[in-house]
Amino acid sequence: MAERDGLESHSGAESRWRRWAEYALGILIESSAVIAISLAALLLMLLIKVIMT
Amino acid sequence: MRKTRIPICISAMTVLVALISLAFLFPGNARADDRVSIVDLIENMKKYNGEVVTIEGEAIGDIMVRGDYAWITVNDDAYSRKSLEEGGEFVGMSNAGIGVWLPKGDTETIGILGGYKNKGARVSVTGVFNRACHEHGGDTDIHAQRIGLVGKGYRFDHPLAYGQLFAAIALAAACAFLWNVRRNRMKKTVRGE
Amino acid sequence: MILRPTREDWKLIGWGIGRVILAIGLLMLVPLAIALISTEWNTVLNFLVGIFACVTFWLVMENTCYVKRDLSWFHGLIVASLGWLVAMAFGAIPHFLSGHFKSYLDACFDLMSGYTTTGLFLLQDLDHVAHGTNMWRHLLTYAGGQGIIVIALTFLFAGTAGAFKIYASEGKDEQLLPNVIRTARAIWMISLTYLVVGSLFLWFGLMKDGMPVGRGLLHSVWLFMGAWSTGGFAPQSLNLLYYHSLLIEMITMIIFVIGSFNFALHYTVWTGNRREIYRNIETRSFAITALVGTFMLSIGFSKVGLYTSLTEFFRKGFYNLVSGHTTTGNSTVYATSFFKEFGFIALWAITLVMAIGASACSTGGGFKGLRMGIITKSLWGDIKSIVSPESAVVREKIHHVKDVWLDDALVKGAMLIVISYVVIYAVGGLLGTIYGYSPSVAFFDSVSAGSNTGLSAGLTTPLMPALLKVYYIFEMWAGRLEFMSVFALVGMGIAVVRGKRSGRR
Repeated sequence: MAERDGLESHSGAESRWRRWAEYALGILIESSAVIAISLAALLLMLLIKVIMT
Repeated sequence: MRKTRIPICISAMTVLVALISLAFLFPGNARADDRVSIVDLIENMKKYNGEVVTIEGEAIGDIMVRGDYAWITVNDDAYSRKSLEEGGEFVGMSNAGIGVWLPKGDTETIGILGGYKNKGARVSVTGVFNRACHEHGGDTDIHAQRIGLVGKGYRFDHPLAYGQLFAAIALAAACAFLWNVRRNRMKKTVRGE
Repeated sequence: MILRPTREDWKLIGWGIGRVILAIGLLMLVPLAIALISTEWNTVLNFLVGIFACVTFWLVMENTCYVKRDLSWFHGLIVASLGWLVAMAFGAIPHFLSGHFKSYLDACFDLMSGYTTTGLFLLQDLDHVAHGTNMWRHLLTYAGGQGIIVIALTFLFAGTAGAFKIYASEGKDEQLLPNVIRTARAIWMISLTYLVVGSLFLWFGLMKDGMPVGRGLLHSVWLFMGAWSTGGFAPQSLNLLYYHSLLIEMITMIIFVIGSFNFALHYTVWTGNRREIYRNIETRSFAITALVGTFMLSIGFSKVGLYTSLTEFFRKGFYNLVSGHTTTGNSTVYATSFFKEFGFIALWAITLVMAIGASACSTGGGFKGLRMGIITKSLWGDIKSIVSPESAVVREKIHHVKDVWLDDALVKGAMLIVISYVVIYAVGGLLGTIYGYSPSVAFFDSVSAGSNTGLSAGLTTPLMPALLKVYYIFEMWAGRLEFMSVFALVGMGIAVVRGKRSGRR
């Protein structure tokens, strides 16, 4: 990563597409992490609701 | 004398009964005695949960239509009578409002909604208060049974704030002067080097 | 021997603060534009006054505080801490002129709340406020989240060595890239990309839910800014409850949780290291404490029995819990409901997760997940040492972008800051209790202020005692700067009073 010069490291049209694709993937991954935690919480809440009723 | 008194009594009673019945025939304009304030509702949710209540206030913000129904937001704080933009007094809070769920058709009477430039329509809503509405994911809301227009909304003007205008001009002048000072100083520095 | 600051020191600090105030003035151009487009002429004037006041201050500083020397660490720290306070005073000008604040103190409170991405507010009659004013409120949190200092860095300090010193003292001690200016710009790139994507999703969601196109656009940008910055401001008094929408709640929740992640994490994941998302100690810490909080909250809800379906547990429970944990402050219930409807257990579950807070080097507040991780691991290491043979050496490490071995200095530093937070939370809670508020409410709001969350159980209103307003302003400020700059200011105060003249001029 030594040559990388920040998020604007690539030049040229093709690498620009690659850059945006990487950003999109980044957004997707971070959103998935949130959704994963939420699903785990939903499961936990369901469990507790069931146990306590 | 006695003979005429009874018919007068009966007529008076009839008129009275008729008038009272009229009040029930025009629910939109009626101000029911069971009117509560929204603050009262929020502070005493348990007490009012599931009860039919009547609130009266300003319709603000947006009408959000969802299929055959819609959400409106009604505020009944002091600002709903005279907002700060209209010159109202401070009362120490932001707003007291509640979401009202009603049939789409009933929203047509509302018209103008409250905001910066508008005084929203004043409406009277009678409906079931829900502390945690099961239909709406636990939202605190009112499902309207009746809604009536108490007063129409209107747009109002803001008189130009001359104080701010003069302050802006004065400060702009100060900036111009100081900018000049800075420019001269920078010129001197360049020459000095 | 403590040296008293010289006139040159003061000049450097003044010059630095001048630049920060210029940045504030430039920021005001955005709400000015919105007010112009919305034909809100008085609001336009309010912002013109604010802008010219900022520019005047900057010019005065430029003309009187010009020094050839460079800023040192010390100056950077002081500019960061004092700069926030001065920026608060100037930023409050258009707010106060809007007529929605009973006093200038109230306006300053909202400014500090905005910059620190807290979200408590004393503005009155929010539902009748101008678009320009609402734009300023939300922009403050977006910009504050990036750190006003980072803004100044990006645009106004280009190339100067003094830049790094201000940045690091601002509470963001991550170095994404060798060049600090580039780091600031990388932070902006990430934020702006999310701004576009997030606002678009919200805009479509709002229109689907019945909002008109124009207002929907404004609300989508504002909701995004409030969520991403973990500020928690929303354009209407009812906050997220206004929209009555599961879709909008889900989108804002995803936005504010992502917004609460460490910027180094964003950068690492965005530049190819995808595994970091689950290896990072802060994501793990957050997941664990969020689930523990959920556990506690669910028990509380089940006992009270008000919310019954899973949807309600999610929309009223999990949403507000996570809003608290990320120190956002967007809420789907009335303030008084936290105390009256949630029950003791659920209320305290939220208080505890607020105290813990979000990730380091993010817009979040609280102890920070990183410190929770460090302290927990270090305690675990201590337990292991006790049961291990005397000659064994036990060392723990954590993974935060790279593996970091825990040493005593690191752990001590983490504990010092956590203790500082606990102290400010407790003092605020005690003050509130002394003033007659219920202890649960007093501690909830105090922790909310100190962790820059912004949820309120009803204590924070324009009618709260002035001393509490001032104390909360202090809490928000100290909490956001993670005490480092505060300690520096205290140190400076001592140096002024007791320092010896150094002989040089």
